[in-house]
Formats: sequence, structure tokens, C-alpha cells
Amino acid sequence: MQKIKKRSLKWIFWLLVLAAAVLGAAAFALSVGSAGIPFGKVFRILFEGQKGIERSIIWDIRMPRLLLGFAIGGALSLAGVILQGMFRNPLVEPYTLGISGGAAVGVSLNILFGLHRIGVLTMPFSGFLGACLVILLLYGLNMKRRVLSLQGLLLTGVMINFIASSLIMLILALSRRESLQGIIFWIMGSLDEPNAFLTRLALGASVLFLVATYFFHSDLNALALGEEEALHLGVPVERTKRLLFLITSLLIGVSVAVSGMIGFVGLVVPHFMKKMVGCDHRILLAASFLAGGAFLVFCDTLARTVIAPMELPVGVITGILGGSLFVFVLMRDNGEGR
Amino acid sequence: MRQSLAVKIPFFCFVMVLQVFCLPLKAEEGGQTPLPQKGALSQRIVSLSPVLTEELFLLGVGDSVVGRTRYCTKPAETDKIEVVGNLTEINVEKIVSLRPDLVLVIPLTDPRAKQKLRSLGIRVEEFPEAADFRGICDSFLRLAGMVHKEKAAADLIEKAKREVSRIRQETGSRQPPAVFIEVGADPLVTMVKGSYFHDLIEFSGGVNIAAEAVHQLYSREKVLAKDPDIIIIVSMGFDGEEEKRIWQGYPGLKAVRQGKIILVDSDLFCAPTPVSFVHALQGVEKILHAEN
Amino acid sequence: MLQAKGLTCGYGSKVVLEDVDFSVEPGAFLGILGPNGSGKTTLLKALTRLLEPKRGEVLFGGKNIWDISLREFAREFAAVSQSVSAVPVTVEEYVALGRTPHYRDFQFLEGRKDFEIVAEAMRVTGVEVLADRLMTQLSGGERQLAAIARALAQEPRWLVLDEPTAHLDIAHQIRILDLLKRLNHEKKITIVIVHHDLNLVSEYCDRILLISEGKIFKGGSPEEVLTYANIEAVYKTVVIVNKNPISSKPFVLLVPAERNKK
Repeated sequence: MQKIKKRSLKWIFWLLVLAAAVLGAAAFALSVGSAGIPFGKVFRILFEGQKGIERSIIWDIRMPRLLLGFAIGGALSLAGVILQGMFRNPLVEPYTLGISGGAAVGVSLNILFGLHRIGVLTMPFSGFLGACLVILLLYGLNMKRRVLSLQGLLLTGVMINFIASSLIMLILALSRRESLQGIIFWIMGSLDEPNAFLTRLALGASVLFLVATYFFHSDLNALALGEEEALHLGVPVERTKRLLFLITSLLIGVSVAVSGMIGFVGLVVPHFMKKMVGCDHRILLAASFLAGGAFLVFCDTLARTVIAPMELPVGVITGILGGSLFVFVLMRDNGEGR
Repeated sequence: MRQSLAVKIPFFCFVMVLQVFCLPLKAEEGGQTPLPQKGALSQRIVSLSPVLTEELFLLGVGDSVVGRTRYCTKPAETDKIEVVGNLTEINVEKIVSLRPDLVLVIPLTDPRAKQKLRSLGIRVEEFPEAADFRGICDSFLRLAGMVHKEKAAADLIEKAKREVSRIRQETGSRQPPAVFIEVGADPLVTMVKGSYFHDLIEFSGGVNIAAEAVHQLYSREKVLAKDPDIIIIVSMGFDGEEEKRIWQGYPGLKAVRQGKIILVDSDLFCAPTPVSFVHALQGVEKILHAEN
Repeated sequence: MLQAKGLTCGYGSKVVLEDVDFSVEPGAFLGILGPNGSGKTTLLKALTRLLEPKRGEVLFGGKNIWDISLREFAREFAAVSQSVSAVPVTVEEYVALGRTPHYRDFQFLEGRKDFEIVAEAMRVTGVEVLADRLMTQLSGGERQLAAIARALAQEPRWLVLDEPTAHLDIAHQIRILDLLKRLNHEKKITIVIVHHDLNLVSEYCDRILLISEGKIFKGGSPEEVLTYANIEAVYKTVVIVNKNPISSKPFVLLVPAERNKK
């Protein structure tokens, strides 16, 4: 009993730390920018009904971007945690399954045929459609005799990614200069989403799926031991695998459709969280979500300030920052001999 | 027991979605600048195109430009203007903080940024890249309308047209040289009919060998087959000298034998305002009819 | 009572186990013997609901095990597989996973009772001193003990083990088998175990099932099953069967082929 109390305290401690990290990243994101609004003023503007251009900058430009960053970062790391747990493979990340490739092909086709002129919402929609097609394909190819083959899922996913990137090359070769630009922009990924509805959608979906994954916390813990042992523990493995596959695919589909491909968050954040809070999914899910959100908000803020007024693709920052941190921690652990 | 999931999940969903959609994502009323009426005079302009920036200065309203791209470097006065991005990526926050009443964009500008600016109630006008001389003039007139300088624009265009027809008449009587114009290496890129590069050559009494090609991508083979009198290399982001050496490896070419492989600075070609068009035309005329 | 009736199992179109009939009484200590590839592991999979039979059925208390919910089944049956996966969780967390089938829906934290059961399971198996070590840092024997502790945390009435002492030295083998015997006696847990060592099975099990080529060759007490004739027929190896002077159980001596010829 003493131990449960101690563990609960540890979990609460981590949640508080991560919540503080999220708030810190949010404060950073809200107060830094090329408009040069002083730090103290930002919060006055935020909480007081002051009107004018500075309020507009904070509420209409920085805030939606912050919220989207949090949603996408959270969604990607959540998907990463679930996939790594389900596949029992620490190298699996949200983009391994080829869902992002499908979304990218969808968006590229949209740009190639100029469908986006009909309405801006067709872009994320076609991305999501592409993602859904890949999900169905993956599911159809790997569902044999009511058993979802994880190994097969991984292999077909990697292959679909290859095919998708070749298709994108083909589309790039076929398209005109302006379209080329659009496709590359999209593939690089950006959190600068002008449509408030999409931001809400992404935020709503990611929070919703976080709640949904908590229905599977004990199943995920058992699955860490392998499918057979999980069955021995009374976990309905096939149903769980199917539902988790669906949840993660939708998470990935939504986030890729809204903000393009932002690499590394879904790989690095789950790793760090496992090292910090442990492998129990009861805390790991929420911790990864919060940490992913904070991490992406932080990276995005860096991306738009390092070479201001120009902007770096946020993927550049997540890759450099996340990757080097990761290598550093790995080296340190190896040095200690584990 | 498990069935209760079926009840609880949708309920949860409902509550969560409700909460998210109640978040205030927009500054409440008053946060936005009012949308100016069409035809209203623009006082604070952000120009995201080097050409448009230059044209605004030509029209005498350079001092109302409050934001520019890194590449808007002509005329020299532009260096006092704030930079808000490059051609493709722009900083929305920076633009908004400059409180513009008109933002001039091009098709290359990040579509998300354009949309964001529009959603914030800022007037955004897109200028497609002018294809040929006529397009340059039309776009110039359209821009002039936005800053109420139609008269000045008409005068400048009139002057340019007079000069163009003078050069056309002058060169019309001479033997037209066949010209291949190279604007990209690896793969070879040229300019086809409907581009101002093409107009420059035709107006100055040359024949563009790629005029009828469907695509800007051109093959070295076809150049050899058409055997132009002159090869003009406009080095934009590639090594022009190296390209010149490659062409010289084909001594069968007329242009090589006559030493008519000419490297030109991209600045001569790449500022398609009515004024610079005439300037470029004079330059091309000199190249085409140098020793004839 | 666990009963197999006309049980036929296999993978794809291949049949590994054909028409198997047997029953196990509660409280038994059953050993399953047989050469490699004879279908022992397949039989265990069929008994623990991992593999759906092609034909026939497995009845538990007169009910087909596939009609029992997984959770309910996991509260009756615990299984320990051949190799325990090395996951980076502490031994205590690992053992606590055994409580999974007992959680109520949406139960987030373990209750006091769960915790006591986990502690007891670790005490019985002697892994309590390892409670805070990571599973990845344990030796093979310790890991196997932890797996048994996890199985005990399920509070099962049946414990099914697939070669739990493979790759272990004799000290660990005896330690684990002694533990199983104690559980069998003291907690009245029925044990079903697949094992390769004829002598250990003879010593510890009160019933033996000898399997050959997907069929039951012989079932019964160690004295009935472990005769040199049975063993030679199933394993195609010449052996001598004697009696352990202390326990008076049969024990099997191997005869190398060279000496055999003389």
C-alpha cells in the first residue's frame, strides 16, 4: 500500500512537471515573435479585453498556432507510444505505417489537379482520404482469419511509404511550378493553419483519442509482454489490436492531414517518457501526450524565431533538437553500462 | 459490464468536442482591422514580389510600401523597408504588426499565409506572374489602380510601347537570327511563346527556336538539330561558364563557330516592369545585332 | 475437470494433433512428455485458449472453454510460456500484471487486495528481494520464477507451464519444480507441465501423458507410462528403466548407441 502511494505521488509529480512544461512552452510561444510585444504586455493583453492589433496578433496568430502545435505534438507522441507498445518495437513511429505517405499522395494529387481552388478544406480532406485508403489497405492486407498480423502491418506499411514517395516524385515531375511549391510546402509540414475549424478539429480529436486510449491502459500494459501472454492474462488481444490500430491511424491521419509531416516527435518523445516515467501505460499515455505537445510548441516557436522574419520548417527543429538529444541520452546510458 | 463502454464513449466524445469548440480561438470583435472598400486608396502596402515593389516605386508611391521580401532590392530605397519574408515563406505575424491595408502576393506565396491574412480581414491581392509584354502592362495598370496612379502608369506604358515599336521597326528589315535562350541547366530549360523572354527576342528581330515547343524543358539534341545562330545563357542559379564550355564541345553548332554563345546577367531579364522590359529589349537588341 | 474430446489441432492445413482424448482431475500434477515436434506445445495452446481446435473440443467443468470469456478463463487458468519476455519493467510491476483479469472495468489503480496478492505471490516464489529490479536485469531462472509469481497473482486454480525449466541448471530446475509441488499440495492448484526431462517428470508428476506424433501414446501413473518399451517406441532410443531407491519412482538411464552395439 505504501508503494502504491509512493507511485501515485511519483505519477502526480510527473504530471505536474509536464503540465508546467506545457505552460512554459505556451508562455514562450505566446510571448516570442517578430512583432516584438514585450513579455509583460502579452499577459495583460491575454487577460484584459484590450483591443487592437497586438491583441489580434496574440489571439489570432500565436494562439491558434500554439493550440495546433500542442494538439499535433500530443497526437503524434500518443500514436508513437501506442504503436511502440503494440508492436513491441522501439523503432516504430507514426510515419512507419505508410499512413502519412497516403495522406501526402492525397494532398499532392489535390494540388496537381487544382482541387484546392474549390475550397481550402479540400486539402486536409484529401489528405485524410489518402490516409484512410492506406488504413483500409493495411487492414485488408493483414487481416487473415480474424487475426491482425502486426509483422505484416509493419512490412506493408514500410512498402506503402516507399510507393507513396515514388508516387509523389511522379506527381512532382508532372506538376507546374506553383503546384510544386504547394506540394513541397505541404510535405515539409507547418503548424500555421489558417482555418480555425481545423485547429479545433485537431485539438478535439487528439484530446478525444487520449481519453479513448485510457480504456486500453491495462490491455496495453499486458500487450507489452507479447500477444500470447496478454491472451493468458485475459486480454482480448485481437479486439484490442484492431481498436488501437484504428485509433492510432485516425490520430495520424488527422494530424498529417492538418499539418503535414512533422517527423521525430512520435519517435523521440515516447522514448524519453519511457525513460522518465516508466513503462506503465497508465502514466505513459498522458505523459507522452503532454510532453509531445510541449515539445512541438517549443520547437515551433524556435522555428519561427531563429531566422526571423523568415521561418524554418518545424520538422528541421524537431529533427535536430530531438535527434541530438536522443543520441546524447543513448550515449550517456551506454556509458553508464546500464 | 463491458457494454457500458458503448454508452460511455459517445458521451465522453460529446462532452470533449463540446468543450473544444467552445474555446475562444478568435479575438472577440474589434481585434480586426476593418476590410477596406474596393477602390479605396491604399496607404500601407506590403509587397511580396520584387517586381511589384519596383513598380510601386516607378509609380511614385514607394513610401507607402511598409513591408517587402528579401529579394525586393530595386530600387536602392527599398533597404529601409522591413523584410517580412522571402518569396515563398512569409511571416504573417510580422505583416500583421505592420498594420497593412493591402498585401500584394504572388502564386508562389505560401497559400496558408495568404489565407490567414485574408481571414484576419486584410486585403490580399494576388498578381500572377506576367507572361509577356502585354501581361506586364496589364498587371502594371491593375497595380496602379490600387494606388490611384492610373495616369502615371498610362504614361510610362505609352513611353515603353513607343520604344518597343521603334526597336521592332528598326530591326524588322534585318535578317532575323535564330536564338536559343537557356534559363536552366540540368535539365535544359528554355522559354517558349507567351513568355516575355520570347517577346524580347521576337521584338528585337530574332527568332526563338523553341517558340513552338510545348514544354519549357528542352533537349540538347533538338538544339543541335535546329542549329541556332546565337545561344543566350541567362545564368539563374547555375554555372553559366560551365554551360558555355559544354556548348563549345559541339563545334558543329553555328553559334559556336561564330563565337555567339553569350552569357547575360539574369538581372537584365528578371525584372519585368514596363520600364525594365524596354531596358532589357535594348540589351537583347545589342546582342542579336552586334556585328551585323 | 479439464477434458479434451476428439481434439484435433493444427496450423493452416497442417494437422499437428489428431483426435486426442484425455481428462485431468482437479488437484493433479500432470506431466506431458514427448519427443520434439510431437505436439506438446500445440496441446498446451489448445488447452489455454490460444489455438482454436479444428475439430473436437476442450471442456472445462463441462463447458467448452471457447464459450468462457477470456477474462473469466484467465481467472481460472494461468499459463507460463517457454521463454519469458524480457521487458523493461520492474519485477513487481510485472507480477502485478497478473491481476489484469481481476480488474473491474475502468479500474485505474490496484486495490489493497491486489497488492497483497502480488506481495504473497512474490513471497511464495521467493522473488520479493528482486521486487525493484528490472525484468531485463534478471537471470533466466529468476525470470522464470517471476513469471510463475505473475501467474500466481492471477489466483488461478490451474497452472499450465511449457518447459518452465528449459536452459536452467539443476539447482534452479529443482527449485522451480519443488515450488510447483508445494503449490500443488498447499494451494491445491492443478499443475499441467510440459517437460523434457523424463526423470524429473517421473519424480514430480502423479500423472503422465506420453505423446507421439500428435496422438496420445500412453497416459497414466509414472510407473505405467515410463517403461522401457514405451520410451523406446516413442523416442526410438534404447534406455534402461530402474527404480529410484529413495522415492521408488521409475528413473530412466540412457544407453549410448556405441555401447548398444556391443
